[in-house]
Amino acid sequence: MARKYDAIVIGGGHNGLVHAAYLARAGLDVCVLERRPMLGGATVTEEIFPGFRYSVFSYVVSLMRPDIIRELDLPRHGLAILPLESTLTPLPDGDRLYRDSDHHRTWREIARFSIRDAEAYDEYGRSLFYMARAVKHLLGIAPPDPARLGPRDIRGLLGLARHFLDLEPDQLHLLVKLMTMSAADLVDEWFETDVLKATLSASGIIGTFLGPRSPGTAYVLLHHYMGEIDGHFRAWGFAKGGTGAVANAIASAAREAGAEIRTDAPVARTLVKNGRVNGVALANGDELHAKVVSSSLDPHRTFLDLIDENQLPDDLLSAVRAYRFRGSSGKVNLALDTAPDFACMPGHGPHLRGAVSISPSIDYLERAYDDAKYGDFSREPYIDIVIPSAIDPAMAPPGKHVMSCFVQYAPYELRKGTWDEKREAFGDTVVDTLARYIPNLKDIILHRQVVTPLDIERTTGLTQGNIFQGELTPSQLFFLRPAAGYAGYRTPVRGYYQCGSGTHPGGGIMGAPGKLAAGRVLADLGRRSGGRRGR
Amino acid sequence: MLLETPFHLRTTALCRSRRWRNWSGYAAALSYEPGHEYEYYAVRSGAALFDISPLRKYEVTGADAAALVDRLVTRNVFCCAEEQVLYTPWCDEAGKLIDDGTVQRLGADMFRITAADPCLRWFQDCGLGMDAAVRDVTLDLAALALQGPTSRDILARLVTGADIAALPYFALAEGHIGAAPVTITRTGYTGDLGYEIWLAPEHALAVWDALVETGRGFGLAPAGLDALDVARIEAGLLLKEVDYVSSWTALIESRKSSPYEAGLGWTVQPRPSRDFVGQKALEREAATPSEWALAGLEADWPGIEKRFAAVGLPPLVAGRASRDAVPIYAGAARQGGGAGRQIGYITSATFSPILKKYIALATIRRDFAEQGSRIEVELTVEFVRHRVPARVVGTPFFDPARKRG
Amino acid sequence: MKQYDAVVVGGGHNALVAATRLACERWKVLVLERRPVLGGAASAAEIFPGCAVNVAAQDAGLFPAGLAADLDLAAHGLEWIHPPALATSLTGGGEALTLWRDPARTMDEIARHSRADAARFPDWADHLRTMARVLRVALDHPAPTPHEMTPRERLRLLRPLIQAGRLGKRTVVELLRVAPLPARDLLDDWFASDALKGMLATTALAGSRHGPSAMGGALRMLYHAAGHDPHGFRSSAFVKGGIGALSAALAAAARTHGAEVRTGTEVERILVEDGAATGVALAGGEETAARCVISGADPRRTFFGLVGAPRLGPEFNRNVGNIQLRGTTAVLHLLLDGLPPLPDAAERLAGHTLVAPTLDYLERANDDAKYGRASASPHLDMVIPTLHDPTLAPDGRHLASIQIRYAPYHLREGNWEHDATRDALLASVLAVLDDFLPGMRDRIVDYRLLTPLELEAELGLTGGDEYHGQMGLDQMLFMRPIAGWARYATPVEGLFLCGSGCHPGGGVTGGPGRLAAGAILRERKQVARFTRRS
Repeated sequence: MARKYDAIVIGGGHNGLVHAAYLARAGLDVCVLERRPMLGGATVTEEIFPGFRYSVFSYVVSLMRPDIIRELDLPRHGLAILPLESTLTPLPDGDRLYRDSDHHRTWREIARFSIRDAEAYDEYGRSLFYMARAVKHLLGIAPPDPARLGPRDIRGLLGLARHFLDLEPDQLHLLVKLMTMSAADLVDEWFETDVLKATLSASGIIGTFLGPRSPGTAYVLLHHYMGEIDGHFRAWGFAKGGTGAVANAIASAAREAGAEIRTDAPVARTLVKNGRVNGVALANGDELHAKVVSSSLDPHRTFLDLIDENQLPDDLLSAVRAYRFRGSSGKVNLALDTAPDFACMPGHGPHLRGAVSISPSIDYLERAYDDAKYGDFSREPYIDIVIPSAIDPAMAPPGKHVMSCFVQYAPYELRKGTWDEKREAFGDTVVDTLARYIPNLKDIILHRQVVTPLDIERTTGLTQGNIFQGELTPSQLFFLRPAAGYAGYRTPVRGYYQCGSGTHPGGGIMGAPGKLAAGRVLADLGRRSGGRRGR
Repeated sequence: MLLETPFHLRTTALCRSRRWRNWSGYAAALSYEPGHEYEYYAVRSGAALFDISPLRKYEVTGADAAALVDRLVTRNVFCCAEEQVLYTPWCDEAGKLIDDGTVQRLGADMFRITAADPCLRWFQDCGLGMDAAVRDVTLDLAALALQGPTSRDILARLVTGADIAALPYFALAEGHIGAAPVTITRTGYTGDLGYEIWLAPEHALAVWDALVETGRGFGLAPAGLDALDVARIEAGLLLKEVDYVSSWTALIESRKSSPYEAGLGWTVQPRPSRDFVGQKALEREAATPSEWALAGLEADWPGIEKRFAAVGLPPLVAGRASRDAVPIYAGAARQGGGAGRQIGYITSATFSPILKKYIALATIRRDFAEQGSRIEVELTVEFVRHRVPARVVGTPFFDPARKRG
Repeated sequence: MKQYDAVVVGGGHNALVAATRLACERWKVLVLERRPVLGGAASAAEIFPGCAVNVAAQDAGLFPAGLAADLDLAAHGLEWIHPPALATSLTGGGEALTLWRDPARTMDEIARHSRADAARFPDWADHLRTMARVLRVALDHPAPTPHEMTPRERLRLLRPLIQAGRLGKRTVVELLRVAPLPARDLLDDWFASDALKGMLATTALAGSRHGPSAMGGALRMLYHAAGHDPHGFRSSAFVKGGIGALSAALAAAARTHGAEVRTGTEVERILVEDGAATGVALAGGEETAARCVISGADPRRTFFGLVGAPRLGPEFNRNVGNIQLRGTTAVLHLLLDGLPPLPDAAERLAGHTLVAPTLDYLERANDDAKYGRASASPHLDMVIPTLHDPTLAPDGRHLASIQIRYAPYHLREGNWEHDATRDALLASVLAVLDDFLPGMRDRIVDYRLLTPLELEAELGLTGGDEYHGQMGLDQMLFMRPIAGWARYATPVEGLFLCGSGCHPGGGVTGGPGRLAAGAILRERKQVARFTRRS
């Protein structure tokens, strides 16, 4: 039986849900199809071990666009973001670098290493504020296409030129540096303390198969800084209830606007008739029809798996094949019997409510990358740790904790062996590395979930396990994301749209691709976005 | 967690009010008694003892030390003799204020600079290629300010090895208090006769005790930041981040100020064939003055009284100094248009107990800044905003002869 | 005291180009070179008795034929040499892969490694040529500096845009996509053969500290292909008489137009009064007045060494301090008593001879440099100039100059002044030669190793960086040498830069000298107009 909708959204990740919510609010009859039994894609909370709730994949929130939170009224649908207040970088010698929101305390902490750096730190923060302010504009616009140069593209490009020329020269120059430099070189311009440089540049390698000294990583660093919470740029937080709560809030908003959301409904292929989209076929053989189909999956799935290649031009196909995923990260989620005891900051303390970064030096990160470059996971990886249960007690039974460890590098393609063989060895490496800084760790682990890039791919469908649906490198950004000429959310097949992180402005729990793509769909349908469906 | 200054054991024992504030990461008493009036009057009639250790202190040494300090600040440092002190601001390359403080010339090639906030990196970077070293000596120096008419008598009795009675305004001397070597500068932030005492932290408590002991017969009182704030406004002295925003913290251009805009134009001293940082920009500004200026304001007392009386209250303006920005308007009677429009804002205001006037420091459009100019300031009485007349007056508001004499 | 219109500090090739250009406009120009010979990094020295050894630069393939014609260098003795072999990569076990200028021969050669790669190579060569041509447009014009441009100058920007647009909008966009790519990614998209990929990636390494997996490598590949036809690899051209002959021709051209060129004259200081350059002070104490001073030295040497940091603003100085000057190359000059025993050596070794057998080999060589060590197995780029000009050495002798990468200027352990450090580098080079060119060692009669420290001392290259600043996306166009100062002018009025540290960048390109001269002429015309009016 074929049910007919105005629009079908493939994938119930946060972008697919945002997309559906905006379409539904504009009065379209929308259906979201999610392959898994739960919504969220990589934005899920699962109770893998009884009583312990893991944000299995993505684990912190900052980039979610404030306009989406406001327009979809997500707090009413259950979204609560609790701030992460501090960052602790333990050092192998028992020392540490601990930064928190107490400005003077952080100043003194950095000054223990270098007074110059403590002073530069404020200046660095201000500069990145300017950068976040400068790129905020880009997060809200669909990229123009310089290869097509239609009137809209020319207008878009001129608008961009004006936007950038309006920046102070120093700010424009810094922006260019951020777009082109390595994270290590960038922080080198400000600081001399290795551990501070390493921890700051670590944001530049997340989700990317590049070392901190490779150009291009400064942009990834900026990408992590452009988030804002309550008007504060660069603030990061937890979603109460784990990142799955973000997806659920958006889903609730979408349902309220009238969208239908189906789980356990894997799409097998997108149906095309006479060069325009006609609906989708589910894996169970059912067909659903719609004049608009939006895929929130990554470009590889959207163009190479879901649709007949004959429908697509060669330049798009070859561009999508050259598009780089290269998953480089994994997760280790731990259930702990009690709080972890850090050698550098023993006992319970506010540091447990913040992030902990295993990034003692730039060389440490670079060596971690070297291992991956030659096809193995890092023997001593970069690890970004948060303990959600320290902020949100509902995540674990009383007194017990969940610890989320984001691990890099874990290359999707191993030169020797497979991830199925190496999964536990990888988990052991992570635990061994952590135990150097958390002496009681091995005694308090109740349960361990190891998520390799292969597992990310299998579970969420993210090609090669790349958390951003494709690397955030200058060759794959803005009007080049996912491919030159195809960055405006449309595809060569009429009615077929892309709305995932593989489009501008990219990955992270941001929602912007979903919203911008919805704007495109509605404009093409001649509708105005934002209007509420009459009841 | 706030740090403790070297005097903390004494100040915390005395601080009956339990009122502290965060001064550069240190706990600093706002007042020792529940109210600050007594401490204020100590400044004007006896002697007040302030713990000013949280100030940042830098030491500049080397053959090019004078050249470096001269390059840093707007005032001509080559005119500063040994054992002399200068008050000066310093600017960025665009001629916008970064910070202000004193420069003490301890020797031909040795200077000490005090600053409100950290500046080490900037000082060092300005000295690139020069034979001069800049060191942060904040933790190596405890500091006290002894301010008030009897401060000279107290110090003269205590200090050995230096002639305090003969120490001129803005001069410095090295001597001892008991066994403790101290540097005494005749400087302060109150606009009264006063001294600042710089010493190694290990002598802090002994020097504090000696001052308190000797000061007993001279009306000495330990005093906190509330009293200091009132006194410094009376003296027309600026507070960074209140009366001007440092170019390092101002997120937008319009928040920044030049020395000219902050009433510090007198500190800009161009010198032949040498550059100081910001000189080019300041030369340009001197040629085409900015439309902003700093002004002292005196509110019309009957006007205030009338507004309060209208709701049946006495004029409730005395109390602590205010750091809230308050709008200023062109007087309603202004000729030539623009009447009633906002022309600036008050940055600091206080009721002056000694002058019995309501005074304020303000940033105001230059064409309203001449003395005697009549304007209006906002006054909130019982949750309703009013405008009361005020006029521009010269600063300092209070300037006793003993300050210099 | 004699008054010049311009004193040019340094007699490198860019300085000579700038001097000639200005002399053509009847400027009274004085060029001052510290060394006894002209050319700077593009000069020859008698390192071995009776030999003219190209001290640092070997190849002038990036020097545009158009510029040579403009300056009439042929009349002053410039003669190009384009040997049939472009480059030969030694792949181990006495094997070699040669890229020829003749595409058919190249295809045959590559087919021995991979038929598929051979079939793709002509497309690749076209692609590289087209991309490089678009880049060339950017390199030929002054860098766009939007904030400092008048509306008319902004309009003038349209010219290169239209010029580039004519080469295809898609190509321009494709260039934007490709330029930031790592060499490895770009080459993986095209080829399968390790030997071919390793070889082609070498131009991505020159002028930077980065390895083949770091982003921005493709840009350097294009940069090094933007001169004489790259034939799928790199622009390469040798000069008859050695690279010094190019500098000599430039000097001759300058003199013809009336410029005065002095060697053995070291400028110690640039004189500045009231924020304006007034001339130079020589090492002997003599002062020369000039209306403007043009420095061919690298920016940091110019500002910190010749002007002095205290004369410049602290914020500007921070930027000067942040210029990435990262020498990573040592040079080994060899005097040989014959060619190494490789089949067809005389033909195959006439271009560049490379040790870059795989991308991973280059990667590992780079890994060492990342941690401040000289590569245990370095990448080598050898040129045997006597193969195309036997007169450079006595009969029966050959010269070989080897660029050794990586030999980082800043070592974490050891010091280039220590014999042990030098010996270790030499030993690793000889070991690599034994592996890749067996028998070469036996031909060596004499050698001279130039470490990055010696390159700095000898040629005045700060940090041993022969490019006067790393060639990366963050130090190109309006970011070169310092963001906000990409128009050859400096905060010191009347002081200009014209060296490789400026747009378009390093290598024997003449570009910075040519564009600097144009900018100086324009600026001085404006100054003249302004003074006349006031």
